[in-house]
Amino acid sequence: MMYVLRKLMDRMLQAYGKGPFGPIVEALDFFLYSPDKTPEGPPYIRDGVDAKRFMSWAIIGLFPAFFGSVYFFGPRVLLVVLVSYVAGGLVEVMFSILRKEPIAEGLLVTGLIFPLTLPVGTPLWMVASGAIFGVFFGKEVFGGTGHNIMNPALVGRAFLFLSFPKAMSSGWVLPGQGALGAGLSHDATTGATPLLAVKLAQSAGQSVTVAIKEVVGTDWLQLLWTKGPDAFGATSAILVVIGGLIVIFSRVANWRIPVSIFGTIIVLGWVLHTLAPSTFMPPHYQLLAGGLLYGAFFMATDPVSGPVYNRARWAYGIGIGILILLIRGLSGYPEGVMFSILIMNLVAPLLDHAHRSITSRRFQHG
Amino acid sequence: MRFGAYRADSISATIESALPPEVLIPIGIPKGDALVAEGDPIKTGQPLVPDDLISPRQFHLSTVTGHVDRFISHGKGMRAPTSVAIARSGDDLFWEKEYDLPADAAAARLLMIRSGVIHACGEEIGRWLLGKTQNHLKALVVAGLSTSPLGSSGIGAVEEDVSLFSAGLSLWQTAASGTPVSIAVTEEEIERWRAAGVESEQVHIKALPNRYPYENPVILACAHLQKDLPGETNPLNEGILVIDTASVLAAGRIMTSRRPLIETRLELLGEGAKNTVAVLTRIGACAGGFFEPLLVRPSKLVAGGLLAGEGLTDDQPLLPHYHNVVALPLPERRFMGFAMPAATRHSWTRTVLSSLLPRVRFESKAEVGGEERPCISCGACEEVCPRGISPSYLFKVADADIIEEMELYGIDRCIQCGLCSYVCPSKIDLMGKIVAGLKRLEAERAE
Repeated sequence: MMYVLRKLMDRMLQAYGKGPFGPIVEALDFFLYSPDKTPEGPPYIRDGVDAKRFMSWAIIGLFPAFFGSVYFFGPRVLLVVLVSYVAGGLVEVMFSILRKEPIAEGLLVTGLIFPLTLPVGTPLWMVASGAIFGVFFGKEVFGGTGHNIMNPALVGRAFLFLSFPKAMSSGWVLPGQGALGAGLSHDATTGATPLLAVKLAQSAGQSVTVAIKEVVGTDWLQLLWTKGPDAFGATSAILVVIGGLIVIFSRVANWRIPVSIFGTIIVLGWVLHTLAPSTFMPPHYQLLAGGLLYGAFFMATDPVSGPVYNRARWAYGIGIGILILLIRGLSGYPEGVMFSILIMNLVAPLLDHAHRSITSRRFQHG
Repeated sequence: MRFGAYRADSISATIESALPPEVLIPIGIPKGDALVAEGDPIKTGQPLVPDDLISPRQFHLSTVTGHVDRFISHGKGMRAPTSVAIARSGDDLFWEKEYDLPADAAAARLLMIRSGVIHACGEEIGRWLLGKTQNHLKALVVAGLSTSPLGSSGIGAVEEDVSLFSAGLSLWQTAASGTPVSIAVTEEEIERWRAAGVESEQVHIKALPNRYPYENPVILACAHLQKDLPGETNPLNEGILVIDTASVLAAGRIMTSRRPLIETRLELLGEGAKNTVAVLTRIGACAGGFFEPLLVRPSKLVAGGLLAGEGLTDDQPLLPHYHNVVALPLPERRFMGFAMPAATRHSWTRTVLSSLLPRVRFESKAEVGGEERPCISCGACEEVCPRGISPSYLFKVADADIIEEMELYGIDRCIQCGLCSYVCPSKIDLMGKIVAGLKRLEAERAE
């Protein structure tokens, strides 16, 4: 059986390996069989981690949130994710063929991370166009994996958010409470996200504290399991945190970024809330409502669009935290995680450069 | 002198290998003129370069008889050692009848060179230490030898046997006129060392935390010497004296028989070898075919350290500074290899769960373990770099050949330890690219 498979792969490589579909055949070959290359120069031993292993841990980290949303919202979630993979995958494969480069594994993460940020009722054509836009303009135009300056999944989401604001803000479906959700019938109940509800109440002249009481009542624990209608991946804070711990302990994500984001939100959020309780929400609500946990664990920690150095990572996380507080508190948008991360993505190279300048100065005066 | 006895114990295989018609003797970059010119006849044991001006880790005596064919550059990196190629013509062992035997002092000097005294700057020290730790460092020796005939204080590494070490130490102490010596050994080893009775008024034993292989040995040495971290140039001008079993044996042989050193003792290690064997061989024998009878699997042979060592090609001569040769099995294609738990392979990241498993069998293979991908800026190389430079940035500017940036961001500080290439999940050979950049920088400066 194994022998037959290997023979088949060898034959396919021989037939198509050099042709236009070479990257696809090669990707399949290297997916099925680990390569047997020997290093050409020292060091002759290498770490066991490679891109595939690295990305598979990111995906495993997303599993709790993903399976959780299947449980809450039903099988439509699977469809949305499938559409995102197919649409994004087409762009990726097309570029690989054009560039004659191997297909990069980053797509496997982007394709899953992106749909989890959408309302579950998003029309499928919208999901597809978001994925295509994100992969094309967020990544491929910059030169593909490793060269993008912004997180492609967030670029796709920002595109949908700005192009179809109505669908993106009113399509929130309440999570079903039974096994596999309530299904998604046409008359599925929709509602405002917890953050939007507070924002609406605020613009109606109500104070934040009162609005929060109305939205969640007194049952804070409810926010931990299902926070009401929201991006379906971020529905359950507990599941997101479990996944976040997986990516952090597998060292796929650097712990400094989420820690600095949470630290900023808690400390500065508490200060701001104490100073202006009617404008800024209390820190625990900031953390649990909306996509902050999801963004901090899975979006901000994207290594490509974030900074490389640990010191820069602290600054990056703190920057994201401050921007989230400002956007949520002072702007017209209820949610600020997406824009904060995108803005800090643009600042990240600058932070890296600052770190390098400081350390290189130390070399010179040695 | 009791060295004869140790020889029988620790050499488990002597391979009679025919010497090639041409033997390369590495002489480093001599700081003075060479004592021989092209075409000169040369005899076994004859000095090639002034011995007090020799670069670290290199050899300065001819190991064969013949004539100097040419001077050639050999090796990697900016400090490319120069070698002398000697075409063999006569009886290499003629000196048993003719040669004027070296005095004890010269033999001690030979010990230093044989075992790698480093007079040079901190970079060298770091490089050497890294090379050493990858050879399963068990102890560091720091000794104040400033008044000794050996001329400098030193840190030494012991690779094998406590009793052998004691022998080396007594030799060293004789040479050092009784200067106190302190030995730093790993915490697990300390009891064994005490039990062996090494400790005395002259010899102190200290515990040293040491984890293989990521603990930075430069930091280790600094901690032991109670000095600041070598952030800048020339931090540890201590000099290093390696006393290893091979050196002790060599010195013992020299001092008891008064012969020039023409043999070297290599240890063959690694998963590709049947078991760890010590091999006595003539310096200059070709690596190709030499180790084959001792291998169980087709392997890549690496000399001089697991990470920074050179890969041996078939026509490469075995040089005196190779203390061991690691046989790394060649990889094979495994079904769904990336998804396997891979606990058999040591991993810097925890993505293979190797750190969670209590008993991990490390299997080192000469394997890239994945396909090369663009850099994803994960920062793994930044975290392991013992010199605090930025490998992820330097390899990019080295690739793009931007000389000013390479200089600005401290490419000179690279000690070529290879950790960045080792950890890279995108399988980029950062060290190779940085070394190539260094070479271009050197060329630029030479102009």
